[in-house]
Amino acid sequence: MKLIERYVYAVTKHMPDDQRQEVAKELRANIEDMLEDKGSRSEKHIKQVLIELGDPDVLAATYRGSKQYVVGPEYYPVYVRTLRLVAAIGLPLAFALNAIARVVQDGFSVGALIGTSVATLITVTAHIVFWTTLVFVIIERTKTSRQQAFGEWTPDSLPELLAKQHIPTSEVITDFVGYGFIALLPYISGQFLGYKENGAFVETLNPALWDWAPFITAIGVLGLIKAGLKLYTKNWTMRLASFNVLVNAAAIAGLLLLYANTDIINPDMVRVIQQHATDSSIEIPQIIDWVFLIGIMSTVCTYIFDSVMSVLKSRNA
Amino acid sequence: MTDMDELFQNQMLELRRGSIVLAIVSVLHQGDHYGYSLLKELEGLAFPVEGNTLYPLLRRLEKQEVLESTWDTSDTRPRKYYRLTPAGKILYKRLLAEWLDMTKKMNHMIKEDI
Repeated sequence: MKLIERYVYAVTKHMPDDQRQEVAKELRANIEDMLEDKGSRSEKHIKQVLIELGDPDVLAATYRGSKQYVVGPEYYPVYVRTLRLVAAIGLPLAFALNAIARVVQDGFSVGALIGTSVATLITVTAHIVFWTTLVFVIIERTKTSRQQAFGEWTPDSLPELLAKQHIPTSEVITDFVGYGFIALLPYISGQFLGYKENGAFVETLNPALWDWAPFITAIGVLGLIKAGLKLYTKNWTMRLASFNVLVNAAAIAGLLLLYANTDIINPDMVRVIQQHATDSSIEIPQIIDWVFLIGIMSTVCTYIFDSVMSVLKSRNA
Repeated sequence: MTDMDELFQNQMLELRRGSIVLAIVSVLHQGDHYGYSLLKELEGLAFPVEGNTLYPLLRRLEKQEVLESTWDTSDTRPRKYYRLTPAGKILYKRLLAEWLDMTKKMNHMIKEDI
């Protein structure tokens, strides 16, 4: 008898008040009918009947009519796609921000950088999975139809064929490294990129540049996001190309602004080089100016070329 | 169980799942039942449905106003009797027509193999 009450309680305990009593009454009546059919109310028969009815949690869920899964088949593909997109953008971003924070706070150390990066990536991955899943759990359980939540699927949203405008992984890796370097540059330049003279460190790049540190880092981070998106879509799409043009334009603007406003090379470094020059008739500052002019021009050309190519590649071939 | 058996089991359950409601309303169209007597009746008609499927389903159908229920306390124990509502009767008629139409088409489709 007690077994039956325990079973009924297990099934109904989480139901709303009005339902609980009714379901309990119903369940008791059904169990009694089933027992009557068995011929006795022995513990053995009670257990048999309860086993027939099965796991009370499952029965309770069937009564509630609630979903017995986290994300159902209707949303699963969108869920996976969203997870991949958020991860492709979020993880590189988290990596870059952590690296910057580390270097600013404690200076550069490969060990600490790897250690904190691993920890950060694990934490951020957990967050991404948790929050994305939570959003989908809510969508799944509110009466939103898929069309309402994500718009009607149309053939236009089909991904491009892989072979045509495929982005090679090497390009993505180059982006990650290059833009990561740009993002970190203001914070590591003073420690690494330079020359030690009489115990004093002379930075190669002009320290005055670092007044612009947030902008330089922002461009680096934009580039990292671009790399993440490239990794995610694997193909040039119109959207990706637009973003690419935007990032490249920002990079060009930043580069020209810096070039116009500040000496890129530290004047102290120019002095050092001049001192070490074997032939004092060589005008080091002039050479540097020329090298930089050519360098900047070719970088700008590369960015423009890359922008145009990305747009061309994103067109339906 | 071999893979083939499992595949068959799953497909068979899918096939059956779609017809459970029709089976329930057809039995209730013949006369009123309480939960366990309906279960026994379906079993006798060689269409067994498990209690843990049937009882919650009855409750759902009642909520959807396909069925209505009354507690009969005249017996030794109270029993909840289910009967078709007018809407339930219409649902039964329409499901029945659909079933006949579907089986007719299906039989036509597979006539070479029967």
